[in-house]
Amino acid sequence: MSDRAPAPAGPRAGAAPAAARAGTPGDIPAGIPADTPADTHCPYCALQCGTRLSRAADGAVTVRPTPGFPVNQGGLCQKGWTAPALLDTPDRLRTPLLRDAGGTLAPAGWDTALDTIAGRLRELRARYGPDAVAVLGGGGLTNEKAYLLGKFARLALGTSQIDYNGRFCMSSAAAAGNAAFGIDRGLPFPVTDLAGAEVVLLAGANPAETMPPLMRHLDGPELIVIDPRRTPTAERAALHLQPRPGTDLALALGLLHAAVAEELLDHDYIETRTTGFDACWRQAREAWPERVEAITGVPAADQRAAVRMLAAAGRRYLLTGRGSEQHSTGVDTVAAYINLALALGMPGRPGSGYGCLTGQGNGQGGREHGQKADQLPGYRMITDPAARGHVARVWGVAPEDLPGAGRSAWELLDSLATPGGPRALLVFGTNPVVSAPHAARVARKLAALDLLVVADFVPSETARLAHAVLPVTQWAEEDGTMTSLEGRVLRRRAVRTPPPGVRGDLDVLHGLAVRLGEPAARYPTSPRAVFDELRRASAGGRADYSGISYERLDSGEALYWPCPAAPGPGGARAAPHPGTPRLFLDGFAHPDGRARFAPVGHREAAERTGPGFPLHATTGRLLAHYQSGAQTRRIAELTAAAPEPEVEIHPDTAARLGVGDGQRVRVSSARGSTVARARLVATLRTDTVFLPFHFPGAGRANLLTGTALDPVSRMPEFKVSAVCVEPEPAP
Amino acid sequence: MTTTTTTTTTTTATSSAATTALNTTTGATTGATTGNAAHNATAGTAGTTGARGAGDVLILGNGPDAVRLTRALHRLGHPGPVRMLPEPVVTAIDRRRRRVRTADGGEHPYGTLALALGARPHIPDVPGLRCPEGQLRGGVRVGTPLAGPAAGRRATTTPGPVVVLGAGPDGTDAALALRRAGRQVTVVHPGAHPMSRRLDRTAGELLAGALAERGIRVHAGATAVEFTPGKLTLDDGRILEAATLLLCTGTVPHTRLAAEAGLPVGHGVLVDSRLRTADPHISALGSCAELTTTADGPAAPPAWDQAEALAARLTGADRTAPPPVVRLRDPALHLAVMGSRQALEEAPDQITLHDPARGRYARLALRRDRVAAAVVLGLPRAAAAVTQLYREARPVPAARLALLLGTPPLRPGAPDSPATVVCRCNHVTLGELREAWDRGARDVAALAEATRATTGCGSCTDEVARLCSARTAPSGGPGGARSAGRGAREGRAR
Repeated sequence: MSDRAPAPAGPRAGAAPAAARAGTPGDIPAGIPADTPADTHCPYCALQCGTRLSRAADGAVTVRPTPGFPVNQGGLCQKGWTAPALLDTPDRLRTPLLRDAGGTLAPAGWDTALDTIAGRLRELRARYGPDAVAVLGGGGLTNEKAYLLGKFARLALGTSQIDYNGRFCMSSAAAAGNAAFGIDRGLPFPVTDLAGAEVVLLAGANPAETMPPLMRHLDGPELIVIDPRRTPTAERAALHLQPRPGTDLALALGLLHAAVAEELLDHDYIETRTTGFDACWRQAREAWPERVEAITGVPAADQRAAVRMLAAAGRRYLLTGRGSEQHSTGVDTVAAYINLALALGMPGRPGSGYGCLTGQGNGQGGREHGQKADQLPGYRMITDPAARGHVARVWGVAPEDLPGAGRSAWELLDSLATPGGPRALLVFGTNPVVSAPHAARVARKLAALDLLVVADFVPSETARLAHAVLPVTQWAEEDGTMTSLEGRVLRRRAVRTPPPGVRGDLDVLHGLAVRLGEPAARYPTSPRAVFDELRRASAGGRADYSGISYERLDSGEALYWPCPAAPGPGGARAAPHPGTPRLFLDGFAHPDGRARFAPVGHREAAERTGPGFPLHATTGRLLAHYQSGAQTRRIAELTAAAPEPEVEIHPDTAARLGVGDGQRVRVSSARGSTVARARLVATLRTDTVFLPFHFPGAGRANLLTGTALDPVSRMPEFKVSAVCVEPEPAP
Repeated sequence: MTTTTTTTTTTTATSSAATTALNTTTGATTGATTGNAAHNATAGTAGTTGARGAGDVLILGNGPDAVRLTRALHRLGHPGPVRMLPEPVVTAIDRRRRRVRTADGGEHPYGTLALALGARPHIPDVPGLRCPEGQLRGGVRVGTPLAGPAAGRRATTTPGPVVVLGAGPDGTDAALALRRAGRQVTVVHPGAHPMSRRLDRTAGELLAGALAERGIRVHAGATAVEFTPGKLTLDDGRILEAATLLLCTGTVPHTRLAAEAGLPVGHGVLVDSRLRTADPHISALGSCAELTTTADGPAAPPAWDQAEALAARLTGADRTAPPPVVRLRDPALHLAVMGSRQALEEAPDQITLHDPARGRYARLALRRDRVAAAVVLGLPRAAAAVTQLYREARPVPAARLALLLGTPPLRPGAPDSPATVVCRCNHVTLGELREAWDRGARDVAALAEATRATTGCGSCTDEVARLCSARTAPSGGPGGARSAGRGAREGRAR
């Protein structure tokens, strides 16, 4: 083992209660009484563990798992337990900042800041047209924020140039799910259904580290784990398939081939509930397991064993994660796994199914309500005239006033400050200078902008590059809704008022919109009012929230979309729609009710190893950190657990390179290089290194990653780059 | 997108028809993934002059190798035109002027010429195989690639015993597939054991044994002397019942055009690892090509890797094709062969694992830590791992026995040190748990309250319980958490 930093000698090593505390005396909020626990949800991942927050008279907030919330069943990971520390992080942004003539970010009043930003936006728009201003949103924003951000972009800015960081997260699974099922909901069944399974195949997912409480539902089933690394999840697997990075698509095709060759297909299901099998098989028929073995390194026998396990089980699930999706072949890879699930008759059956493990806290809702380049609220397509008509009516504008589809996140970032590209960028809830691929190029692009505005609650690496920084609220200071990985709409609740000087994102959008000449009433600042408008805008869409209300959620109802307001058979007096915990049991969301096989064949990753860059680098997450680390790197207990970037490398490979455990190394790709400490891991493939992507500066894993995009989802190829590794002298 | 038509090698001998008969597929339709529109060069180039850029690719042949190359070029976004000419209409390659002549008098200039001419089955000179008119007699079949399900059943539908002539990789695989489909199968092979050109004697005998175990009769060291309907006579006088005679006696690469153009030809058209012939403007791939870098002979079709590599090179990357690996497709045999017999014998470092009782054998011939040649039988994980090392010329790991046995490397044993992390989800160490216990947290719930251990995924609950019982038990000294064994579950039960 490496000499990892010793455990922190923090207060919890003593007799401190397990409930985590944070707070500063004197910060007594007005309006929210102390000692009234608020049931809300963890600020981090898509599992959205139920947390009960309490605030003592001195303002300190403590967290406990919400009793009875079925998703986390009383569990929390270290990130959840320590989340209150984020509320009082010492460098919390508490005042707007404007870059002064000397180039320094200096405090400014809100009116000054908003006036300045709106003025610059008006100038740029007048000079270069509305698409000169772009918006980048995030999958951590509440539904209300995501919705209002999309509306703000389309109406107040009049720009088509809006996308969000979910493009780097969920987009491949979303595209494949929509194509196959006619609807994209990460898990089309409640998380708790997983516990009843006999077998669960996890393709490119490592929940034991990325969403630990999920493992409580995976204790019973036998696991098949597909991951190039022997992750903590893989260690729990009955069968671990360890493909060469970048060959996930070939492996998925091989599994389908094995299912066909071993005659394990569910012919009745294929006949009655699907279309397109023959075309799909024509593409997969050349992917026999021995050929796939040569490409992936996964033994043909293990491919067959995996398929046999799935086929023999009565109740079984196939779940994909970022490991399958973050590729230039991401959509085809997920489609190939869905093909396998369909061939075995899994989706849309009680106790079985396909799902995708959404990453970000509101990765699901964030992709449904209009911050995506090609979408309008309710998961409507912006190119669909009927969708445009509906949303325009709700917004009180003419359909032709709505811009068309814009660029995807990477293409948007890459077009910044180019001729014809945006000159200004507004960033809400994301940190692309750490989290986007080819991060050095992104930083150069951002630096070349005429105006970069960042709304955040900490001075993230991107905020530090901005011309204007707007301090906004965080999770325990705001109300709203989040939609978790299972499609359940959850209430986020404020437990204390924000620090002085901090405003909500809805306030910020309102303030800017009004200054840009928009009617004030068009941008409500109350989350409830925004949600009620979102309900109307989503009505009739794929993700129909119209039957969901704060009242119903606050009364404890578990509501999964679609949940239309339209009265049921009993007319207007009928009981409200109960929501849809399980999709597809009666049919899929295509007009004919059938799921679609996708005809996908083998494609290689965009980049291959070669003499100059002989190793595969793959990137991912650590348990102690979340996304770009802007939040978790500010929590002492988490930085103690994972203080700095470490690159995992096989001992043999390290020995050949003259690198010892704990030694500093430079990892380089065709894009650039990053510096990290070597951590020798004997279970790794000798041809692969792994880097976590949570760290800033010279330790950014995304200095290495490339910009090859999936042709459909526009997902960058985060999961495989060709690199070389060399010892790095001490600084 | 143009309509994809499935045609055979029939062509019309006009240059325009020949050049537009591009989208020939072989069963596997190109469908949505092959938008051939971009690749349909306009016909009517006959007779035109002027040098073509290297990106102007003309493919000779329209079999699987040609189709794969076309698809790969399309997928990689090859910018130039890609044209395909079926081999029979071509009369000559004019290397000096870089053009191909067709029977109709047409001339087709090229920047790069890719020979994907394929091969035909070799029909041995055994009396009785052919009718007087020359075609194969009823009951005589040639080996077919074993794609898809129920391959053995489809290989021949004639009932009755099958004799497979030739036990190279194809013949052996065919015999196994037929046997899996329940057929009575006999193999006739001139060598001392099946796959005698590939396998050393030890592996060959194990393979023969494995075939026998499956009920396949093997006549090694035997040749056929005559076929009459239903019967095959061997040189030792034996007569085998053969309702079907399946010929797996190798292939004859289509090399005529290359040879007439003066390109070096061995068994196939000779190419280096980048698939280049002696002419820098001409490459060859698939079953018409023979790699000079290995002594393997023509690549076993279908040559996807070569199509990918050549397409990548023609679109600007510097790529070599990975060396071919012989891998039988029987789901229970797990046989992989790399490199030549000669390399297997001559490489300086040899590692051998031989477990005849369980039919397991691995022989790795290494040169400078790289696999020069290998035979792996009965070891499914080793077959996969060694194949990857060989194809990518990567060094063999230090843990060589683990490589061959397919055992996962051991995690370094976590010492019973205070720094050992027990609860990963909350990063709680053994030391912290002991401290909490010493301060009075005497069960799992109390330890969870004090340290948050067990509150994440919950998988360390047993281990925390063991720590409690070890500390409670009189013998449980400090550090007993991991050695306490099975007391934990009892402790929980109480």
